[in-house]
Amino acid sequence: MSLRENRRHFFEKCSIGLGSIALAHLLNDGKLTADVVDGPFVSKPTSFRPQAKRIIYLFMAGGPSQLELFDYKPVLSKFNGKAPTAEMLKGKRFAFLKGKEKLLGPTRRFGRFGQSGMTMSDLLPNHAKIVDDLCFVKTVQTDVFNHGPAKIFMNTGSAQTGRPSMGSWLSYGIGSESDSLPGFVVLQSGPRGPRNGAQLWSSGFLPSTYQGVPFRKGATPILNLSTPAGIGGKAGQSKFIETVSGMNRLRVDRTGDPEIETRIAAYEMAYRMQTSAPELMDLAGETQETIDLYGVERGKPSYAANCLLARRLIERDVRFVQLYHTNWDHHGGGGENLRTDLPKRTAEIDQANAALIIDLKRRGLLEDTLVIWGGEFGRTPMGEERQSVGRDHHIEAFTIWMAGGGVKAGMQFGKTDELGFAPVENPVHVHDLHATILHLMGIDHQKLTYRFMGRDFRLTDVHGEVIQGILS
Amino acid sequence: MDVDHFIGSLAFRPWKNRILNMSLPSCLLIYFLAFGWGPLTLCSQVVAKDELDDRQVIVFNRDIRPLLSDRCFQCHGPDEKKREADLRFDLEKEAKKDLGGYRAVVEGDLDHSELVKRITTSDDDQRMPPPESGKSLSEDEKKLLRRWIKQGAAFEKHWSFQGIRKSQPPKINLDGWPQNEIDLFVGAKLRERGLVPSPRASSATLIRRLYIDLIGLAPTVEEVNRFSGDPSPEAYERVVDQLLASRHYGERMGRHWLDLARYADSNGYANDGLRSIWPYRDWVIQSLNDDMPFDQFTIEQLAGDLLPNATPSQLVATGFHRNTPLQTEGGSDPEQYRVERTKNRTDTTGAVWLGLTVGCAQCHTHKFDPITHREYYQLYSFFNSADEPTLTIEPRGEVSARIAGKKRELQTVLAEIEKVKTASVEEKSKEKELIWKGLALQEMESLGGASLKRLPDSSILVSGKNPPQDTYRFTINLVEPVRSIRIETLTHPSLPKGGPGRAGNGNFVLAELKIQQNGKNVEVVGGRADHSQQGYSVVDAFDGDLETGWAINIAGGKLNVDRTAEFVMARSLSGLISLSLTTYEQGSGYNIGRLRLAGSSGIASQVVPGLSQLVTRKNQIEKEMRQLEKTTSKTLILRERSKPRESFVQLRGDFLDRGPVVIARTFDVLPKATKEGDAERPANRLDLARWLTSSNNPLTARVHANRIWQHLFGVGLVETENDFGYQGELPSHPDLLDFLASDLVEHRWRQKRLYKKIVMSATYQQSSVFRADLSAVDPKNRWVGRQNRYRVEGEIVRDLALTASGLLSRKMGGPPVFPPIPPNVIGTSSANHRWPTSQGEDRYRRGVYTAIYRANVYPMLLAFDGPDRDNACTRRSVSNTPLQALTMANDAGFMEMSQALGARINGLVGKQPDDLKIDSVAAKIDFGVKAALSRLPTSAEQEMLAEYFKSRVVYYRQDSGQTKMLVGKNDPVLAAWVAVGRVLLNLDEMITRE
Repeated sequence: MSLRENRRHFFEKCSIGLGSIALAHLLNDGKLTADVVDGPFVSKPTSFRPQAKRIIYLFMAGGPSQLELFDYKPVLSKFNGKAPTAEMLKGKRFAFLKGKEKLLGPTRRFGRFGQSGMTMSDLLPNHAKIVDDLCFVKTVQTDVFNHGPAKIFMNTGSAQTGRPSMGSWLSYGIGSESDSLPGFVVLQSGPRGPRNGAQLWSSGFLPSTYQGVPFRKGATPILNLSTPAGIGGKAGQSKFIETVSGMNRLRVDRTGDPEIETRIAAYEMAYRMQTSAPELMDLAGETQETIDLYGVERGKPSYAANCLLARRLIERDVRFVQLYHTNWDHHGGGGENLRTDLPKRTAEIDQANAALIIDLKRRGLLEDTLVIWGGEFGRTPMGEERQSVGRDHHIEAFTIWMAGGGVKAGMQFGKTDELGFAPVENPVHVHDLHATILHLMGIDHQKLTYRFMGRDFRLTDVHGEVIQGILS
Repeated sequence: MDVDHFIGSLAFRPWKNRILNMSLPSCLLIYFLAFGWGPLTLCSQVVAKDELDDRQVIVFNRDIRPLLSDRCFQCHGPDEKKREADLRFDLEKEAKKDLGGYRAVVEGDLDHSELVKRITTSDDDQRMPPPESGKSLSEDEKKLLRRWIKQGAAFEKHWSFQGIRKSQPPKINLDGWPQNEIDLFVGAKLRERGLVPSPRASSATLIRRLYIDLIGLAPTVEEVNRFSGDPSPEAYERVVDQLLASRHYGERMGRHWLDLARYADSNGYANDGLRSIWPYRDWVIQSLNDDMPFDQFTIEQLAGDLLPNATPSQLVATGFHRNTPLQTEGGSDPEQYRVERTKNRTDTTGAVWLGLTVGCAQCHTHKFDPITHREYYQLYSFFNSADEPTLTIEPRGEVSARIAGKKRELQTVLAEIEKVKTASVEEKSKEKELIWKGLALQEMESLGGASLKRLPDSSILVSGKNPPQDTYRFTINLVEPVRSIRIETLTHPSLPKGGPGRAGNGNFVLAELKIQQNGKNVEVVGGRADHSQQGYSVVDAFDGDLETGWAINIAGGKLNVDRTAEFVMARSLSGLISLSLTTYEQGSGYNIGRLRLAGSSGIASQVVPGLSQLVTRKNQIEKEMRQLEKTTSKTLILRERSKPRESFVQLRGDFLDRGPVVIARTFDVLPKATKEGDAERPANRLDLARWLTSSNNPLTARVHANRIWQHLFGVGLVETENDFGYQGELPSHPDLLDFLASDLVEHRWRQKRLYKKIVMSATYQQSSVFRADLSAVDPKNRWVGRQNRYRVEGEIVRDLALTASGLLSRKMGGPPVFPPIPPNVIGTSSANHRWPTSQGEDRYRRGVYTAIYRANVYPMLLAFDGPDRDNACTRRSVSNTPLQALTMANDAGFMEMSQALGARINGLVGKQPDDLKIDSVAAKIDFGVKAALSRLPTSAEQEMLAEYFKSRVVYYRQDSGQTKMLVGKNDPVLAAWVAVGRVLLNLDEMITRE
């Protein structure tokens, strides 16, 4: 069997069992036959024409302050130092606030930028270049106010662990278009990884085939990507794979088990990954102009380097790239104050974010790539007194932005009250965000289901409405 | 050499030896002839479409309930909040009731049954299910519903809620195939469908299957040789008995159970620090090895603490429900996460013993199953009154003796301290008045978050938060030398009862006064107070013990007056010092409310002789005891509170939104427990555990028997092993399931016996070779016309490779081990992850002992579908991915195993290590394949491996650099054998149970 035939066989036969029936349901409203039993490495049809084919999700772990970045609240300045009224605090729960905290006005200067006249603070000067490509959603709401559960919620639609993450749902639903890289890749930067680690990109109850693959720093981003020493390099590994496959094929003849064919194909894809992943990591082919645009220092891991890597990944047909950048938790304590630590974080992302959008756009990739920027929650209008005055976790209204595939550019959606406590129009719950992301990828969020424990589970649980107002 | 020559000597009928060498069709033909079961007919497992006619007898549970449940219950089912038109189909009476001149279902009357109209109409507004529901009925499904109504619309109780009936196996002649009752049930079903079972697997396959299923290890070459060399008909049974008696049995079956118990070695969530609960893991393994009856196994795990005179082992067992994730992130609400853990216990109990998805009723009444929202919280209530302590398992032997010694030493020192304190308590008297000067406070803060305010009289008033324990820290500049410090505790109208303390009665407890200069402690050597409460001497405020302190309540006098205490330091101080006052941890905040500080150069009181030395000694002993206790093991257990917590329905599952009060009770749809509790003694976990294992509970035995079947076939008789409710699949062999369930109960819940019964059946011993005739009509092999062939779990992948390489350590139990891990896997997140790589044989322990961090699972186990450890995993998914291939091929751990296997092959006893003679190479390949796969290679395999070996010898002879990298010396032949070993470990069959 030739390699090509193998691959086709693999794609046709790589059954993952339980999920396939639900999948067929997704694709055809029950009209198509349920024979569609595809593996994770093959692209699968969507429910309707997708606006976006791939996603880059820039996850700012810790919860960036919308009040210092995008959601300008001049009235809050007037109340600076005053206690919020009981009315403002009614029914609210906070992680660390004790109830005596005073309101804290914006600590940065704001201005209007771009043709769209978007308000932004002085912390993100480079964003002025891309602001007309962005769609700001200022009224995102979540359910939980601690980092771990909130990150799980933003990724899986549940505050409890055990559900599949967004990227896993996508891989399960529409598969991967790459035959030499995983369909769902996670990149990390910042002093440490995000809380809850692998649970954020877990496949939950879906087969592990669909879990996110965290890339590591350095030339071999995937675990066990290098051929071990003493095997004879590429030629030796090739001979090894050939022999393993030959032996496996003899077993197919005796057992008739098609799963062995899948194993043969998995080894062949693993072999391709060994070549394609280092090639991916090698920036030698990038022009100095591009390197400078992102602000990448060659050989040094950074958020900027991950943004460039994200572009290279989607160019190679990876479906979902998620970047985690940590330490946005600005309570006011040591190493987490608004005055000096927040500007360090924004300096790390400002140029790179702008570069990513500009680079995608000039390569014609932005139109069918969805870029999302945001954290697991926002920060309170009240100050939190630690060594300095910071802000606590706020779950009722925070800002994210989206760009590219299928969302309106230069737009601002949703509005919060004068002090930034809560939405006054167009609240967007995390479930709505998930529904919208799936919609942009061509999936009806109510139809992407997986039968587990007697129930059809969805990313959006039993909630979620597509945010029609931001669709282009 | 062919596999069948190797099979050798087991008593086979002649045709069995032939079959593997034939093409499938011809072998089947011979097989059918041998069995004489008549011609092969293809016939569907469900009602064949074109055979739908009115004579077909409709069985409600098989044909109708799944339809109603899946398409109708969401709006016409148990959940009254979502119910439309006040109509429900889950209850017969309700489905047939008068809806105002018409009825949804009229027995035997198609024309008057509204249901029939609604499912057949073409009017979108009328049609059911409504188009917007996304659900629909096929033509055949509509026919089924019509036929059901025509035949009288009979309802049946859901199968799994009916009592278990011990069914007699069908009386059927299967030409000597059956080995026991199981085969009669399975054979009859196969014959109904015109199918025949598969032949018995080869002895090589059988021994490997038994080893993997019962102990999770591959047989060694010697064990394979012994089995294949034993011609007696009892050879198979002997292996079975030997494996069931093996101590590795508990490790293998424990692996299954620990998945259900959601066992991990860390706390989960963001911090994810290590926890010590491995004694529970060892308890599981030991109990399974002891064949503890499953009812006792259940009771001890759910309620061991409630058993009369509970033994330490029974307490350890309650760790089952301590395997919940624990949120330790700052700022989280402890009650919220206690509630989450309690829900997790509730859901896990439902999944593990009842096979029901009870978690669906957390927020609302179950959409499909008859479990109400209220009933969920009744079950929750059983778990709501458990505390979560840590049990120290008393050490034995020398350590225990040393701890006892230290304890005695501590007692002596404590007694001496007490004596000194009593002797030195001195009432403050006028004669010894010193000159006191106010102190220059530079900074002050409350570590507990209270507000400290300086009043005009230089006193400090405390307000705001009153935490259970607080420390006030003052930075003071001593402009002239100070030897004594005075603390006046003062009343103030803002304080409770006027103070001077902040507790409800105005009292406080000053546990410790600490003075530091340049970061070093300055000892306090004496003190006196104008009044000390009985048992709360002022000396207690400088004895280095936070559990004793100075307080001021007074018998028969007034508590709320100003008080003074004076303390003497070991030496005079000047310059910057830090003074901290820590209070005694009490629920209601025994903190000081107002105080004033002063200093004096004089000595305020007599120096307490030797107290400081005694306290130092005491701290030293305590430290040594802590060190010693670290070597003892701790584990997490449950302990029932003396006074139960009140439980409420949580509206929409929100613990802050309380509905009605509920008491612990089981589900109405199931038979009641004998003891459901009353006002005097509410039902508790022990009652629940007894109810789960009582003879009238129809679910537990079925769920567990199904699980045992699943362990031996990869899938249960009920395919949805985690859902025995309306949405679950029906059992493929309901009578067989009931037979096994009642067999389990009748034989006192002994599990080993049931495992043996199943593995002794001809059904189990069938070949797993795929058959075109079966695949065509039964692609999922639900009728078990052959065994299943599937990849083993991640831990067993590791165990099999370790066995083949000869590196396996058979050491059992103890703290989790940390086998080598690739770099930069651990320590990259914010969590408290450490990976102190194990040394020596601990590097090669079985997978079940590998340390598991919930938020960072050992990469190899993660790649092979290691489950989420936060919830019960009832069956692992089996994926087949390139990341698995990369792990097997390139991981340093697997390379080490390849090197070990290569060295074993090269050094085969009786053959020269570097002998390249054809005979010798062939013998070595035979040995390698047997070590890895428990069989001999076929001639084609022998040829392929020999060719690969030769090519590697040529290669390594040319490249000594690579050779040395692989085997550490320039030995091309050894390197080539390592390459062969690596191929063997990477074969599909290596990690597959056939």
